[in-house]
Amino acid sequence: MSPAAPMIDRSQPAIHVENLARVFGSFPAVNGVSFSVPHGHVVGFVGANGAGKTTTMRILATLDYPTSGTARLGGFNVVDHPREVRRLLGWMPDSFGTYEHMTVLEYMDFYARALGYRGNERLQRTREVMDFTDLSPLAGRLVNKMSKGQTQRLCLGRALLHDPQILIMDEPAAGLDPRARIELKNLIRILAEEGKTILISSHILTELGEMCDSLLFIDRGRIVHHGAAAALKRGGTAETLVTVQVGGDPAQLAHWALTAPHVTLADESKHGGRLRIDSASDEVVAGVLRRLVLDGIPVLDFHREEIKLEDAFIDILARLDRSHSLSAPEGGVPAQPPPLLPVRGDALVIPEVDETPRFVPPPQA
Amino acid sequence: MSSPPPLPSLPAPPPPLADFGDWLSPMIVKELRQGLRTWVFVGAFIALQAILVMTLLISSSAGNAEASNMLFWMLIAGILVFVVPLRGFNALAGEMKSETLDLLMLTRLGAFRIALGKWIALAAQSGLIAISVLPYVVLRYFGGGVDVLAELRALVLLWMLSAAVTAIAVAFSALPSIIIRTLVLLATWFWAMMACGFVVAATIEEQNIDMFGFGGATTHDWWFFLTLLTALWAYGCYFVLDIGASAIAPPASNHATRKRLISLALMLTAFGFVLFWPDPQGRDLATGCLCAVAAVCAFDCLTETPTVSPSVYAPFVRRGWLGRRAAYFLAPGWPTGVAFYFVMAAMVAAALFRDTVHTAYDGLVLANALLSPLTPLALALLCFRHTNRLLGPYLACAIVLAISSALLLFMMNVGNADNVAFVGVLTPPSALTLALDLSDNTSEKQVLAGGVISGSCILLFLLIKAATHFKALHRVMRQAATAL
Repeated sequence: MSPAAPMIDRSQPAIHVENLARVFGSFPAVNGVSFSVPHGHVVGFVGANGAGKTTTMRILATLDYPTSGTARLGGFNVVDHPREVRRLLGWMPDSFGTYEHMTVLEYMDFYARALGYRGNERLQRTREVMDFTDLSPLAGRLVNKMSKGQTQRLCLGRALLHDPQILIMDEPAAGLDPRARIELKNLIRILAEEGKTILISSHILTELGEMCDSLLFIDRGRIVHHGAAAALKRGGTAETLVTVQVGGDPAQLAHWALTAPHVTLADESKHGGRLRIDSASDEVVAGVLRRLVLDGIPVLDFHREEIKLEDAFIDILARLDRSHSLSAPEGGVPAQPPPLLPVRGDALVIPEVDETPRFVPPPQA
Repeated sequence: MSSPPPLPSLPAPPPPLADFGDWLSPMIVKELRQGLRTWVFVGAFIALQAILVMTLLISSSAGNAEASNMLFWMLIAGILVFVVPLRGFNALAGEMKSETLDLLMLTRLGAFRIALGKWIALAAQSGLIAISVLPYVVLRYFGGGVDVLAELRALVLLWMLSAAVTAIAVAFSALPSIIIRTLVLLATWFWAMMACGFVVAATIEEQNIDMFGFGGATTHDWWFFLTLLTALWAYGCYFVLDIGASAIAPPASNHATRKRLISLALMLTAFGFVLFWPDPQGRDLATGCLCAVAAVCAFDCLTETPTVSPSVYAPFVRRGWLGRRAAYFLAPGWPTGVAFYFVMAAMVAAALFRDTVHTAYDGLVLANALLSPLTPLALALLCFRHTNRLLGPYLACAIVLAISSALLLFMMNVGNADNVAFVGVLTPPSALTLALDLSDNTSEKQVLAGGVISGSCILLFLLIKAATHFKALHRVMRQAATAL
């Protein structure tokens, strides 16, 4: 923990955002965003360019201020208590510059000083973070001569210097080669295992799906979905599709499905078929497999069908657009509908209560 | 059995950095580490040493002491006042452009500490250059014909001038417009050049310069002058750096109250001297100081961005009725700046009425002078409606007003004076410029009266605009009171 880090109220969510809005001129970059992230969760923040991700993250990082609404980190309001919030927070921006005539060690030493570390404590903390991010072999290298991947590790190292409880990372993997991306992903995984709360935005949804406990989808300044990644991959429905391959006659699977509870045969294939299980629960799916085996069906392969996160995201946006075009009156601007996929994360609060009118009048010319 | 392959050796831990102690501000450490490696500093340092050696050799062989003396001081002044401050030109803009300012803001360094650190590092570098000149001063002394104390005094004054120019360069480097920044630096250099001439003339050439009516440069006067100058220099450097800090600070932060309170304390001290100092020359000096502080503070008050964040007003609300009233004068933003400007203008007017202003003509000149700083603000509000930051637009409007006044003056001298003077009454600055050049006393008064009328209209416009903000301020203070 950094020198004199503020005490966190663990009864409060790590991140709590309520009706957050940020208007630039007449353009609402963020428009009534609400969500909550419990301590120790890794949440992916997904949205198209200009959807409001960076603005929301900058407000959370105390670098911008909301036009209305509130944002709290560890119970501290970002507007009223920016200093406390900054001590809790590690911020990794999507793009940042480095300094000329400065080595990696000098860079880390400068930020350690600026964060309040003194003497041996500073040396020790700098060393720990440089070892963790594998920057020690680069200690003498000039920071403006580093590769993109090394620069991202430097940025992560800087963000971790004061051992923050909450990490906000805006597109940390953008522009990285596959190897650097894997390295970064591993570092994030370790941080998540340490119990840090991480809000991470990325365009690479597959990676987010692997790392995150839940996903937040934002579109045109509004949260359009908040839920567990695993549930999203299953299409957000209350049933599960499994593909089964059996040894021998594939018809035995169809016969078995006729008698098994909770199961219907969706379609047959050359080596088996697809089963529709009327539950998304892991226990029920495992129970179906157990029963197949116990009933003597020679199961060679049994796997759950999952949709790609990219497809889920596109699907959500498409449904949103359809809903807009259906409900928009002539000359009127449709208000944002409520979330279309009401998928809930296990412990996540989804306070997206839309009390705005369905339609708002068109803006004055 | 073969021996196992050797384990790959772990990377050696990075050597600890022990170049700067913990007592130094992190920002100064960073800037010194970077700054001492830049080609501007290294190049200027080496070039200065080389040229100084050559100058000494030439002067000892040719025996032309005056020419070498002039070259010596021109060189030092050039590097200290013109080259070193150049590095401040991009100091804060560079951090913004390279997107490192956000990262700095998330540390414990506030906006002021960032600006101060950059300034101290540059001032330290110019100090290093000034110290490196000392051996040459001693050598010149042994060469004969040189007053070491006078040269040291000149060196100290030049360093102070360099630091002041650097402070302005660093502070205004926060402006996004490179044109405005360049114009500000050019104007600063122009005044710095004149100040260099004054320093060299008054110290090295020992000319009997009348300083603020003290009659002559005796040793006693010098120390008094230096003390006063140092106090004003420290205030000026602090103030301009805080202007830069305000420009880079997060929107919901308050830099205005501290600046205004410090300025108010200084002005009250000077005003006390104006009221109670028996010596008229001393009163004039105090009035000069009062006007200087008011001018610097007015520039800042009238260019601040208003903020309506409740967190800014909470400290005022906590102080009860008096605190809430004080917010209308001390909270950030030009509307409260206009209110604070009234207080400063009243003090300046009272001080000037004590000894300087005696006639109706003097009164008209004073009124125009006091209304002049409001004119660029009104123009900026009219012409740059969608801009939050007023510093750049204010400076741009002030420059336009200065150029148009100079043009009118030129046209009046070559053409029909009456017609041009009629145009001049449209703004107080142009009225003031034209009136001071008119030969006829009645015309002068008419132009000045016209300037006062136009200035009053500008003031009315500003008050109407400020009233809207005051309503919002009242509402936000109520919100802050509820939150408390």
